[in-house]
This record gives sequence, structure tokens and C-alpha cells, in this order.
Amino acid sequence: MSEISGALKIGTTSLVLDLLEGRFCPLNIELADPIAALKAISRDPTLKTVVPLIGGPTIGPVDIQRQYLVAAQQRLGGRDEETDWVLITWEQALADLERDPMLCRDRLDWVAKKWMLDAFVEAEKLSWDDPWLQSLDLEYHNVQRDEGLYAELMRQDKIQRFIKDDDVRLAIRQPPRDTRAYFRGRCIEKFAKQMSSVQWDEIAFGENDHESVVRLLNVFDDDDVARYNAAIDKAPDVATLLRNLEMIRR
Amino acid sequence: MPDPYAQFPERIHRPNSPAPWEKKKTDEAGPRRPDVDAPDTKELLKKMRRVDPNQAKRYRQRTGE
Repeated sequence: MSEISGALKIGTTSLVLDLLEGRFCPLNIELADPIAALKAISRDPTLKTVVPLIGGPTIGPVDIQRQYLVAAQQRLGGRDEETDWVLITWEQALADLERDPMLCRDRLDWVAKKWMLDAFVEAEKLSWDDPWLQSLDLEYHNVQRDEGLYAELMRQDKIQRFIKDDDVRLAIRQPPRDTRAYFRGRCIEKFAKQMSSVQWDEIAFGENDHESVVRLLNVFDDDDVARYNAAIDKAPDVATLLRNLEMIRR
Repeated sequence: MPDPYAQFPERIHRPNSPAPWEKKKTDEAGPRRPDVDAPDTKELLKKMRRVDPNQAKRYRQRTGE
């Protein structure tokens, strides 16, 4: 739900992938049992759990991330403003998590939720196995603006935001031009009546024995996406679109 | 199609801030520090009390978990 959470999740993953592709990932943090480590860390809201590395030493979750952060700062820092924003926000989040995880209640969903539930448990004198808390956990994610608990945090200005509502409204109807979502959206806009089905990775035109399927699963190269999107923009009808896509695929 | 944001509650209006990776006018980079004082939870708790305690159980029954 949190915009900062989402941006950090996607942003840090993207930077780590860049490190992997460049062979710049730190080499000294190979976990002895990654699955057990994941479970142990995810169940400790204090972030004090340490997990074993191969060879014997242990490491805490913030230190694991910090090693990747330092590598990303050294290799990728300064390349563009978006990368620098992720690095600064990541560093600040780790510093606050280490000092006191509750400092991140205005940025990270799990901390915001924990903070809300802590307050409720204390106010209502509940135990942590009370099913009411599970209902509150669920309600945090209710996207109805007048019902959801995350929406209430936004309303009370208790959560950081950086996305404007006008940009969200625009994005509902106008996907980025360099994506397959643009192609799908334009097909629906222009040729909905001739479509028999649409899925993430394919669109079917026509019906019964005369169905033609446009497959998008392997259309992710920037140039291919651009050609597909140019084809849908220019096509006056489905037959022309299919013909032009066939030429692109050759 | 109705605007899903039409029912969005009034937000506290602040000066338009640039996208986070655009240069800010101040020297500070990155998100602002949170207010470390304990925030008021009265309104939030009121909202939370209105949540049906059995909602999660009904959700599990509907989804077959």
C-alpha cells in the first residue's frame, strides 16, 4: 500500500539485479540456510535475529541489506536521479530500522501495521491471537478509500506520499507508451468488438475457427515493444494490425 | 465509468513537491524525517473499532483457505 514501500521494493530489487548483471554483488554473505533465515527474520519485528552464514559467522538482516546498499552506492550511485533517490531512501530506512523500527511507521507497511495493531491491543486489552487483529490486518489493505485503514493513515497524513492523485488518475487510462500494457490497452480501445479474449500474454481476435492470436509473452525487448505499439497506433483495422505484426516477427 | 477517486477524502494541501528524484529547493535530499513524537491515535482507534472482528474468518471461508 505505502508508496515508499512499493518504490523501495521495486527500486532495491532493480539495483540488486543491476549488481548481479555487472557481477558486483557482495560475495561474503552466503547464507547457510536461506529459507530458514527468511522465516526467522520475517517473524522478528525487532530485527535483532542473526542468521548463520556458510562457514560459521552470523549476520543480522539490516547488515545483509547494508552490504548490498554499499555495493550499489559504489557501483551505481550518481548514474541518474532515480537511482540516487532509491539509494538515499534505502539508506535512511536501514538507519531508522536499526535505531528503532517504529521510526519507519510512516514509510513501511509492516511497521505501520504493527504500530496500529500494538495501539489497538493496548487500548482494547486484547491478546495477539484475537481474530479481530486478523480482520484489522486485512482491512489495512482494503482499497476502498472510505473504509481501508491504510487510507485512514493517508487521510490523517501519517504516511509519506510522493505520487500525485492526478498522476494515478492518468495512469488508470494511459499506460506507459513503452510497455505491453500500452499495446493491450490500445487494442481494447480500438478493436474491442473484434476481440474474443485478452490476457496478460496474448490477445485473441475473431471467433471459433477464424481466431487469430497475438502472443506477447516474449515481447519485452524495448525495440520489439516499440514496433508493436507503433503497429497498433497505425492500424485502421484488425487485418492490417495482424499483417504488420507478422512482418515484425519475421 | 465513475471516477474511483471521486470519493477520495480531502487531503491536507501542501505546496506541490517535485518527484522525489528531482532536485529539491532545499539542501535536504531524500524523504523528510518522521515526527518521532507519539502521534495521536484516537481517531485511528475509532476507525479500527468499526472493523468487523469476523471479517477475516468470512474472507477465509469465501476464498476456501
